Amino acid sequence: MKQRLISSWHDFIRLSKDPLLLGVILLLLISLVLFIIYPLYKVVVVSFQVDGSFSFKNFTDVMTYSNGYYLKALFNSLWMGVATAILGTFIAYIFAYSLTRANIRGRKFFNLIATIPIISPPFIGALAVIMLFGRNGFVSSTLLGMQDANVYGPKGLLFAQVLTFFPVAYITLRGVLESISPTLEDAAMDLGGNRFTIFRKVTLPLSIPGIASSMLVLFVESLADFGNPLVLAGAQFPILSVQAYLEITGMGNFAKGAALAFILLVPSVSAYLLQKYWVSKKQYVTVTGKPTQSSNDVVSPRARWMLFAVCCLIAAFIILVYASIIWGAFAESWGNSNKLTLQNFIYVWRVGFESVLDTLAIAGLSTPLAGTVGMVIAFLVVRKRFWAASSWSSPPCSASPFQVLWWVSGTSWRSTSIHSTLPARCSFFCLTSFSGICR
Amino acid sequence: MKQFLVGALLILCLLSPLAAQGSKEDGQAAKELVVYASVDEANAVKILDAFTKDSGIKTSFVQLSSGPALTRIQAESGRPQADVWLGAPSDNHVIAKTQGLTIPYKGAAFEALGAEFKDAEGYWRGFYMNPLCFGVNTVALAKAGATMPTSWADLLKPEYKNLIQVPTPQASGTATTMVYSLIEIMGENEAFAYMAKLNANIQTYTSSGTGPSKGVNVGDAAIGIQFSPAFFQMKANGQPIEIVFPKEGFGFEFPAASILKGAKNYEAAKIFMDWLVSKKGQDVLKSTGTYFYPVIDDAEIDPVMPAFSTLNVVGVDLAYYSSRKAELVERWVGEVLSAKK
Repeated sequence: MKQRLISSWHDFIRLSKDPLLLGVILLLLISLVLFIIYPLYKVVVVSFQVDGSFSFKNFTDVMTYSNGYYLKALFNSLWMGVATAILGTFIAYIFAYSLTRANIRGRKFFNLIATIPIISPPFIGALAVIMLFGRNGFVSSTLLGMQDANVYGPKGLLFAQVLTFFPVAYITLRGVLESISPTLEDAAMDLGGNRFTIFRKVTLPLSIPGIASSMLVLFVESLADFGNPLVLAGAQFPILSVQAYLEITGMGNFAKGAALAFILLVPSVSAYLLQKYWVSKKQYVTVTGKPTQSSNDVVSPRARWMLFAVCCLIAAFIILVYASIIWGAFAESWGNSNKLTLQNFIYVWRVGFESVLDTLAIAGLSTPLAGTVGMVIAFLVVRKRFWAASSWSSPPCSASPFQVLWWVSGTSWRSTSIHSTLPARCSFFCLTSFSGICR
Repeated sequence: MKQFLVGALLILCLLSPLAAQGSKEDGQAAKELVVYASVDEANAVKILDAFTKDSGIKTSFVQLSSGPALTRIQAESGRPQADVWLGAPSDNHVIAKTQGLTIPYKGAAFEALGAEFKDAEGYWRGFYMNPLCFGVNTVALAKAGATMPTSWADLLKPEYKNLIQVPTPQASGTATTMVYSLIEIMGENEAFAYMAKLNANIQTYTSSGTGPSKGVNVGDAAIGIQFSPAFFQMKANGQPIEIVFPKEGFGFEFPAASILKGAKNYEAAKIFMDWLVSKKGQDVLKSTGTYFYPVIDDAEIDPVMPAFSTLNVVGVDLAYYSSRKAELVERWVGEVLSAKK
């Protein structure tokens, strides 16, 4: 302990010899505290307050509300998170394995398809699910002639969430699989293992930390997901993130909403901490000076075709989703007349044009700012030694568990009388995006 | 030198959030108006554009549904970014009045307004009305092999299973109006028993008050329960939609407008409030195709809309019901949502 204090003091002395660095660090510290920590702190405080004094009443109210409705919401959120984690990781692993190990055709295409959902807006998955698989959906009604397709509830939500989040798992798993040296599999083959045994005893065990990591990340993302459950979950399948929002906006009860968001935070933060401090420490990396190209086929041709077929099927689903959005944009009235028309775009031009401009402006302004700030923080954390350096990257970088709280804190921001004009919204988006860059 | 410049630029970047202060504009007399609109976006544009054409005052607005709008006004308390709150059912404006967030203003047009459409002291005034109705997609209904419903009781029939979309009262003023009016029509316990039975036929409870009309529009739901304008609009656009007013009676909303305390453009706000309930402003509701019912007798309405006096509307004591809202919604969650399907 004494040693740590002494070395921190030495660091500080070193810092003060470099005033520019010190100034930058102080500014960053102040920004972080003001824009991230303070609003979150306010939200947490509000959830523990009733009429200004400390109380657990919000939490007891929430637990006993209406025969455990919110407990049901917590349960639904949790198992939806687990289901998304498992299914999303599974699909992502198939994709990642096919593209890195199985050498299937069209790798660039599949890579693109797997990452497209990352850039799409949050409601797209939900809307597409309704348009394709709903009662009057293109696939369910027109193609399959189903009478009673109902996408509202867990099934539709699971589909939308897996679609939205599996690219995140894909990117993680792809990195993990690429870092496993193929020579290990070569050695296994040399030792007489058949291809399936190699997969079972070499590739899969080596990728387990990556799989665990991606499952935890998907779990957290699913818990924080708001757009998809808002549209698809419905009141009969309550989801905690939506309920927190409804409690604040629909019922005007900020304290209760904050309490709900806080409850949501507990599993999120636990999963995040688990991922950061336990699983990610167990990476399996091959350290070698030699080039690691495998000359053997570790996947049999038959298995390769099967994997290719599965990837095609998944890619087809994804393309179907985006095609339906594009078609819907041009269709005169989806579900009734499928004549193509530009009238929807004309409507958007007239009514929503300002929103489009505002969105572009915010994105355009916050990206360079966020990039710069993110780079500065990354540089400081990696290259410079100073007090609490490593813990800096954690809270901002763990955007996901705090997303709901951030939304709630956006409301609390206004209550701290910082006007939400365009520049303010910009800086808020800056901070949410730089954490992504930091990561 | 170069290092210094880079450092200065960096620090400037980091200081950018200070620009979030927001500039203090001096209230330019009656040149522009900022509005929080709880009217849906498309119709807000129609009304405000018509006002600009008539008066020359530029308008800008932010669309917020009633809950978020009230939360925001409360948060900004006394230093609002907007001048007028346009829309949201009148009970919200009553809450704003009791919390001291709005200021009274009467003016000439106000005096001519019927007593039931305004706050006696002038804090708010209604400017349109909408009745609740069933919006029926005839194509989807035929596909499901069901007949046209004519009453609330009809909706309980098993042929409508999974065909109906309704908003949830947790989020939506539309849904709370439905709950309050059903209580008025049937009595409290009977209304909840009715809704519990209806639960079996509900496809989903949407989080947004305008969700059902969107579902009906694409044929996702055959029947949507919502205020009428959206359905009239879709019918006018050529969708196969019929509007049905249930026999037993139905509730209606009348959204109101009020001037926010601390409004920067007070002069413009006063002109706007006068215009809103004058014949000119009310005629705009028809001429721009909002399908809203006006609040003054001599305003015109679109021919497809039945005259308001012919509608079997059920009045609801908003002050009484909104004080019981939390309790009624909790009962709804407990008895209706978990009712057997």
